[in-house]
Amino acid sequence: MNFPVLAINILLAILMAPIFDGLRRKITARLQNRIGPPITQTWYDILKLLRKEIILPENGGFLVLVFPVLTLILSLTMFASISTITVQSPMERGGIIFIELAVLSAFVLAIAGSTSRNPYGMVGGSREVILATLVEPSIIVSLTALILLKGSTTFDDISRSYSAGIPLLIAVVAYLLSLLAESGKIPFDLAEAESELSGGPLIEFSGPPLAFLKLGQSVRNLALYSIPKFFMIAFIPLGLTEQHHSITVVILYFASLFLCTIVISLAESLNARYRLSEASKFYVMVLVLSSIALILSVLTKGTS
Amino acid sequence: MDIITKIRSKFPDNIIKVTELREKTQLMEIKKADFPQILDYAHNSLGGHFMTMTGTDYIESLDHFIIDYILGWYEEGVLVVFRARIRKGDENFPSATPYVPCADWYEREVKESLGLSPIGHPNPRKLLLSDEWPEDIYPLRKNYKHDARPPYKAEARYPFEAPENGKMFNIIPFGPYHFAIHEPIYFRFLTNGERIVNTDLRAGFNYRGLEKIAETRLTYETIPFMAERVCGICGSVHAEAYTQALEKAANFEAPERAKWIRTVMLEIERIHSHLLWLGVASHMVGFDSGLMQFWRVRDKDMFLAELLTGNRKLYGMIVPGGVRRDIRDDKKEKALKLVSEIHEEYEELLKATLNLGTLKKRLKDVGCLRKEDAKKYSVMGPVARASGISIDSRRDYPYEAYPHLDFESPVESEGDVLARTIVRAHDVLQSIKIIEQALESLPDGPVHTPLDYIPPGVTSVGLVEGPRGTDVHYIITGKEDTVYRWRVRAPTYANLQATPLMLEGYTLADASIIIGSIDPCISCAERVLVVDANSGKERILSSKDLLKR
Repeated sequence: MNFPVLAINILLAILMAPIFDGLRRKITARLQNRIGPPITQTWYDILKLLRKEIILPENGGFLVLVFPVLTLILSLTMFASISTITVQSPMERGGIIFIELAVLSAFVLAIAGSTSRNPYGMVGGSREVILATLVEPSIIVSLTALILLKGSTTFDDISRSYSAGIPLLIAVVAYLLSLLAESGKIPFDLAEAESELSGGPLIEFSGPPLAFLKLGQSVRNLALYSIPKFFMIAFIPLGLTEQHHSITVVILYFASLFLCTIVISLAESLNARYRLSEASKFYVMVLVLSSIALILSVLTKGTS
Repeated sequence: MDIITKIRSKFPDNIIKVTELREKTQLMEIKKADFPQILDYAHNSLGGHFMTMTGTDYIESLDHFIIDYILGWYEEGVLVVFRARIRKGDENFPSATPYVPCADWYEREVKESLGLSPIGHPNPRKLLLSDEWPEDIYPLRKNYKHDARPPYKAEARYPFEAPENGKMFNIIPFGPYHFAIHEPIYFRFLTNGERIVNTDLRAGFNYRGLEKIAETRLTYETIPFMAERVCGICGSVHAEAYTQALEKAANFEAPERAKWIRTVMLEIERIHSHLLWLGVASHMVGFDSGLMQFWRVRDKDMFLAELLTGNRKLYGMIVPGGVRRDIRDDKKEKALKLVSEIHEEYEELLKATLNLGTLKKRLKDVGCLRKEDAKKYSVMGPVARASGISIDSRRDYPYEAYPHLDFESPVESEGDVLARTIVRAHDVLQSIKIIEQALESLPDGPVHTPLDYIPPGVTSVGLVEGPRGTDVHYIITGKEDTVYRWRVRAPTYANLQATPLMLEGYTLADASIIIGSIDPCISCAERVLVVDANSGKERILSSKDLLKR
């Protein structure tokens, strides 16, 4: 464990995650000819929710308090596995941990929605589960392709080598496409679908628990936005060495965050919400794409 | 008269009297026992569109009630009022609902408000009054005071349809105020997974008692003001429909210039309503850019209204005898410029949005209403036109300046939500065309001449094609400068009855856009009654109830 790096990561995650959510809202607003809220708006929302009283739903009980905290902890743990603005990552074998946590946290929200026994929450929860089972494989497979090509599950090593190639290109496209659903925004906000399910799994949450959920979700999204950095590094021969820490890494990291934010904003303002059947068709295609990336990377690894 | 002859030859012994109220409007007096069979023949065999149905209390003066069913034949431009008397002490009539399903709500309303029970009605639950309203107090009877407060009846509960025994269904409440449709109505879905198996509907949360107030407190001149407030979106349509009915009753023709200005106002309102709907519909399927863009253009339409009337909404232009404000020539030029701007921006926007793949996928083959069902339920306006029924009262029952203007009424045959969207989208282009024509050839002359005499006891019907369909106002004129009976039938009242049919078999994901696709305007459909804080309307469904369900 590299504690200074971990501390940097956690601090960065908590401070920046709502800011990048605000940025997404701002970009979407500009694309829709609106002025939009300030980019600090998500922070204002969270701070306001934190000041409100806690209301427990009749059938949910204390679980309503457990799930938001769990979501936030799981999302922050994701940051314990990756390297962000540093070359060093806080832990060894972070790749495996990251994949596991990404999958686990996707299911936590689905379960949280079903505990309150609100019909909308249950429908939203079941949609979340279906969507997660469709999307998570693509995330796993595209990240596995990356790990396989780099030959290491530690993010330090992944950051250091340069190995551009077609399989990696396919993998990054598949990753960005899966990110659309992972972030839970239009066109893949099926679970929350404001005008259909009134918030779905979130319906029974209010006040501080909702603030924690929102913070947790935005931290999780930020962790997912961080991954394209490693794909980018693979395409740019930087020659990063053991102790090397350059400003390029910081620039690349933020470039990765901006790229993902813009991709999601664009998808959000150019699409209507998918139905579950259409979303599943779409993600079967993405899964095929990421599988091709994986197969190609196995082949390249095998021959080299 | 063709239709009258047909009915006469089919039922030679059952017709008491036929009188011509005015050109193409007949009053056919029959016995109440003959209602079901005659209406069955007129609606199902002759293809009459169910317009409205109402009851009137004549107990104090004539010792009886009357019940009027009004059917219209759009192709011929004919209206027939079927009237029967109901004697005191025998306050019931055979229900026509088993044969004419669209009579459902009307008969329930007559039962609640006048105490005339439809015998054999398949669904005699409450419609508009709150559950706590006592069963034996009838607010539209003439002996009921407009400000009376009924005794509070505790612990009443609306009897929703229960799922069949032994079958597993989820009950999903959609409302009473679901924020996708922003309207106070309560749908209760029985679902199997996400698929909707059955829908039950509770309306009446917005019943305000406007008709009673009009009959007791207002004069002929002030009612349009109230009529405009029946609905926030199609206000002018209601004012126009009332004014039309009143002017017909008085055999009065408004000045030419006033007629053309009225037409302009109605079309500005149509553009506003359709753009509003296109935005809301985009939001319902998660296409928020559409919401923002359509509403950006809609704002221009509201500037246009402000320029001509001083108000962005609720124009207050249409009054009996003409219009309130004239359109000056300099304003006319500005208005024409604004209209062409709206036209340009709207066409561009329409091209960009209607070709959008994801949006199209969400709208296509959803909420289908077959032509037969649309006929059976007598749906109105864009909903009917999207199912291949070409009805448009601007063309079929011409009023104001419409006979002099060149326009088409778009018709689609698929009957799904996409068809309804296309009908509305093209309707806007026609409205733009109408406004341009009307403003360019505005005739000279006065804009208002007062109505001098309105004969009492005249039955009159005003039909106006609102953005959502034909708006029907039925009046019986009274003696003391006010109406004896005023019945507002907004198009949503007819369209909403057909929604359970559209919803069946589709998933929860499509529910909001299907309900949205009729452009529901609940406050329109439920104008009327007594505002009573004591009756505790909110108790129909407290937050506690909602949690239990």
